[in-house]
Amino acid sequence: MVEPGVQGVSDLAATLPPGPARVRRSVPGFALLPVPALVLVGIGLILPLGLIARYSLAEFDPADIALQGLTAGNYLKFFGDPFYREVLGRTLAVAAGSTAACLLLGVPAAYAISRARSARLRSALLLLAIVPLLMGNAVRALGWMVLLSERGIVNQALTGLGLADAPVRLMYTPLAVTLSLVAVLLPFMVLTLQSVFDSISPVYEDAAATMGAPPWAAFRHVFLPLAMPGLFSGSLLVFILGMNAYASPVLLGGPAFHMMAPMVYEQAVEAFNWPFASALAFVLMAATLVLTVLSSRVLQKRYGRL
Amino acid sequence: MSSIALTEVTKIYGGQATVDRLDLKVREAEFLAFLGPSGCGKSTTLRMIAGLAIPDGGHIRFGARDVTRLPPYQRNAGLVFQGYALFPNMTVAENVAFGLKMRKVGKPETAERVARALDLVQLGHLADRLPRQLSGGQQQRVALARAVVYNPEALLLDEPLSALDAKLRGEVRSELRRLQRRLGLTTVFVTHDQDEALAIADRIVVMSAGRIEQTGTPGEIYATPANRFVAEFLGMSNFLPGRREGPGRFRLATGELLGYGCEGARAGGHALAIRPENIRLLPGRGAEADGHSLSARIEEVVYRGSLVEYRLSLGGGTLTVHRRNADHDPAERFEPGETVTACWRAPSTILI
Repeated sequence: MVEPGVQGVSDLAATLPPGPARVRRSVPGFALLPVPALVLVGIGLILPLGLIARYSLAEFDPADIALQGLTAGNYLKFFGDPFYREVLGRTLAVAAGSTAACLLLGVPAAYAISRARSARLRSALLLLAIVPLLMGNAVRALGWMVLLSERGIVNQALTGLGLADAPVRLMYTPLAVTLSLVAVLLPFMVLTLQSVFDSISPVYEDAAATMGAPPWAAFRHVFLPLAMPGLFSGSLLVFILGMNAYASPVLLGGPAFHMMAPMVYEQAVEAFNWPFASALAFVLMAATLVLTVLSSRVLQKRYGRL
Repeated sequence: MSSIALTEVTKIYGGQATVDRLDLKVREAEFLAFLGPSGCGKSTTLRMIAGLAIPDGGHIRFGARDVTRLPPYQRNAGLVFQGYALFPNMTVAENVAFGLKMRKVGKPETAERVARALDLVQLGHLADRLPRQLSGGQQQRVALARAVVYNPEALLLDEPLSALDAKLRGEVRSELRRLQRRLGLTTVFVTHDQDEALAIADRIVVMSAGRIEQTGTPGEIYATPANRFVAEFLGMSNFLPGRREGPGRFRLATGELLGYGCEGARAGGHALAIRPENIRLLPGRGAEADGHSLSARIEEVVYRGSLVEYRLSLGGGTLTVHRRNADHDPAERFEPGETVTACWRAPSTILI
């Protein structure tokens, strides 16, 4: 008698918004709990950010790296030079492409994990999704190099099977960078999606089915709109990580393939041009931020509050 | 509308038959209630009729159509879920329109049918609300409108009233029954609440452990339970242990010989069942009475509003007696410790 009641309540709860009725317990010192994290963020993020902001407006003197002058020249240099604009465009394209690929691959995978019938299968799939995270980006990029290089396994297989006469150029292509990025970022997408999918009761899909919706229609008209917040946060996470990718473009893109994050490093560490490196960093951040806000606005209009 | 026929339907979970060779026919436009304790297989049976679970054996037919292996979306049944399962991101009208959209019904016709369905449950004015802006009773009615808007062959209800508070439940129950009659819907209703089943159904199927214990009208099942399980599950019963001593004769464990009205269809013959409201109390020991009587002592008096419940002890057993609490004879009021005579007429007892 208890079981169906509980089920009913939880189903009902799924349709209710997390209202203000939730009572917060007042514990002495409760307000102090976030202070350590705030201090860390304050010292480790806000302060350097302020410094970079200032540096990005400084004048560059190769003979003297001390902070000097006040100019918009670094930004003018960036937006005035088609080379740099192209780097930003490429970075955006790679990040967006990786995000799209992660969505395309991640949604079915996360759905399968979330709706797996047996608990054992579910844990096994979840573990598989996490395994790639056990390796660092650089190690993984190295692995892709072994696979994709001129005498790598893929080319050996292609020529061995007679599918190609000469080794195909795979390394140092946008495809290689995107491939390795997708491999790095997919676990983040799958894990984010899976946790959101789990919170969507299968009863909605059952209801759709009894009303005449074949599985695909139920997925498209009922499940996907409910999963939109998850799709958005997963995409956001992957997009931001993609925008700031470093190891993959450096190791698999080669010296001629420029993306923003490696370029910040080059300017700061190799050219010692801190002002321009700072400006690059700010452009990268601003681009990410603007796109994030814009996309959430558009999605909110379409699907309500995310 | 069509009838629903289940033949030898079986469902096995974890090596155990949750539903065990169930045979049942729901007639056209009939309101049938599955009644049983949780885990008796009633919800599983409903899910199999809806197509959300596939039987491991047997057949399910809607009219002449064998739907045993058909997926839910090809069955054309309407299901109201326990928690309603209204799509939280769609308005009331969009929820109701969903089944029509899946059937590729044109826009103008959809709008018209949605409006009619919402009027049927008196929610036309809330068409543009989201489910979370509605009360529980309103959500329940949207779920109902959503399930009947596409003229399903069967309406299936999975404990649809359990999430409502007691007062609302009665109202919604009557409304549901009126709607079902008006639309002539073949309806299967799952509940663990005996009052609900008695009040709403044309016929009740009492289930336990995956099997049917008894099928019959509410009156039949209440008045002549087939066995002890049904007698205990529906309403209250007193059980007087003993054994059958020939047709119509029953020897109590304490020695008295009693008659009885009828035998339960699946009686074991080890007890007589009698409802608390069929016993009268007379003051004093061995009072003169028509029918049977036993002397007993009042142990407890429980005031229950419209009735007074007396708990009696007699010869090692106990007896519960309900008397109407209308302006009845003050001579029929008793206090704990009093000795009384409990009496009843033989036809109101059943051999179980």
